[in-house]
Amino acid sequence: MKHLINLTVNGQKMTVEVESQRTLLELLRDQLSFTGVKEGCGDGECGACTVLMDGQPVRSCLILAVEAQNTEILTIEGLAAGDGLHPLQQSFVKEGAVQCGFCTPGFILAAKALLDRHPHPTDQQIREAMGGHLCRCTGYETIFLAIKAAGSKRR
Amino acid sequence: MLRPFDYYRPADMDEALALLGQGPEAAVLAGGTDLLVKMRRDSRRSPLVVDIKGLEECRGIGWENEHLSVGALTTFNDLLGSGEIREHFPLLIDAARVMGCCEIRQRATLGGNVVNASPGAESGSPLAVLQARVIVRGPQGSRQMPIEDFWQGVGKTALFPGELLTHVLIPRLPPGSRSAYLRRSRVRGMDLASVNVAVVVINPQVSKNRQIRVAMGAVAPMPLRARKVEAMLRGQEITPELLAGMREKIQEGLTPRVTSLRASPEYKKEMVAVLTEMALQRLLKR
Ligand SMILES: Cc1cc2nc3c(=O)[nH]c(=O)nc-3n(C[C@H](O)[C@H](O)[C@H](O)COP(=O)(O)OP(=O)(O)OC[C@H]3O[C@@H](n4cnc5c(N)ncnc54)[C@H](O)[C@@H]3O)c2cc1C
Ligand code: FES
Ligand code: FES
Repeated sequence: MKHLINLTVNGQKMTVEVESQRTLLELLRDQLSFTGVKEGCGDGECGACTVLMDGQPVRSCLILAVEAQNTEILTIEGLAAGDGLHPLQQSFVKEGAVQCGFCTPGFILAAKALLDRHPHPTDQQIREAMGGHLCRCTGYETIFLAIKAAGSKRR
Repeated sequence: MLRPFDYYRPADMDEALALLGQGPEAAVLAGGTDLLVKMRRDSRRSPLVVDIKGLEECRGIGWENEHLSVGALTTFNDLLGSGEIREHFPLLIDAARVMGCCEIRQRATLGGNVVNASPGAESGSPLAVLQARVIVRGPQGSRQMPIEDFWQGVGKTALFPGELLTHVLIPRLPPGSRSAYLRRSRVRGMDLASVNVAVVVINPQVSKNRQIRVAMGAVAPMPLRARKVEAMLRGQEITPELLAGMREKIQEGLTPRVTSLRASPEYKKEMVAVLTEMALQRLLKR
């Protein structure tokens, strides 16, 4: 069954046709070519597919594309304004929080939602926001420091 | 990839019930955090998915007489943000905080958690110990039952095909009551509970009027009230001897399944006793 849905992706309004059984992850990655959205586990466990839906982090592998009707989606591609990097991206680079980079979009978007809610998060709040994200490379400490640094810069 | 199915998002209850009436394989979709995982693994197949998130009547948290009515579509993040839950049923806050992760809590609903009927589900032992009731809606109208009758086994509930869970009703506790939820999991990050307990204490300060309720999760097919322990603790001064007796009694007759991926039966039995004692110590502090 096909559906025509309206949604906004990275600030751009669009109407797209999707099959009922397509996930939001498949829509964003395969149909719309936002390949910054990664598929790790496909089961909600790893966080690689995290995007912001109406400002809140969600797992795009566990949401149907049709469920995105009338929502605003932000992927990593839409984070930075213009050619520069977003402060969170700069902070990840500076702290060496990126190795293979597969987990990075998910961590950064989850961190953005955290900083939007709590501009100066506590260590506990940072760990909480990272809780559902897996990284096989960095050991997490640099990611934690990158988010913390981005949080304190906003003062 | 998911197998093909048809998807509808009904705008009201009548439309939803009509769609669900089309066949017993119709699948209700709330947050999708259990359903989509099952459909992907092919342990659940359905030609028709009915997304109930458009049903306003299944939303909202508010008092109706002496019950807090919680809509089935309430997400775990909604629970965390609710002043009523925080004030009256803090054990549900304890449970929501350790449930999944931010992204899961944003989508996962209380109704989905209850209907999924997993033995260690985060809302299981808290709702059992709160003596919650559920409201179920079907083509014949509404019916209500205690949540302990609603759960009928691992993944099994009293819902007939075509029926929806619409609300969970939580009876008001007497003023001054206290409650807590504690769990153990394999890792400090995201994981399901290996074992959990929920405890309510009514009249914490005066031992002769004190009532204690205890429920346990992930030690039996369904969340389980420890009624013998409750009787033993009722109206008693809490002494080290009584607690030692409690630790023994709570393990009596428990036979957690050996095939659990998360913990051995011995560990679960031991931890049920330990967590209950920890909860009591926390709740009985002056
Ligand atoms: C990564 C991950 C981590 C998780 N961690 C936890 C955890 O820590 N603790 C925990 O308890 N659970 C956990 N879960 C399981 C799951 O998130 C919860 O059980 C959640 O509450 C399910 O709600 P939902 O709205 O997503 O349900 P859905 O997936 O939409 O539905 C679940 C089931 O209930 C049915 N259903 C849903 N709503 C209704 C209704 N109103 N009436 C009738 N039927 C209905 C559906 O048909 C389906 O069979 C986790 C899941 C994932 C993927
Ligand atoms: S791909 Fe969605 S959480 Fe792993
Ligand atoms: S940088 Fe490789 S998984 Fe995190």
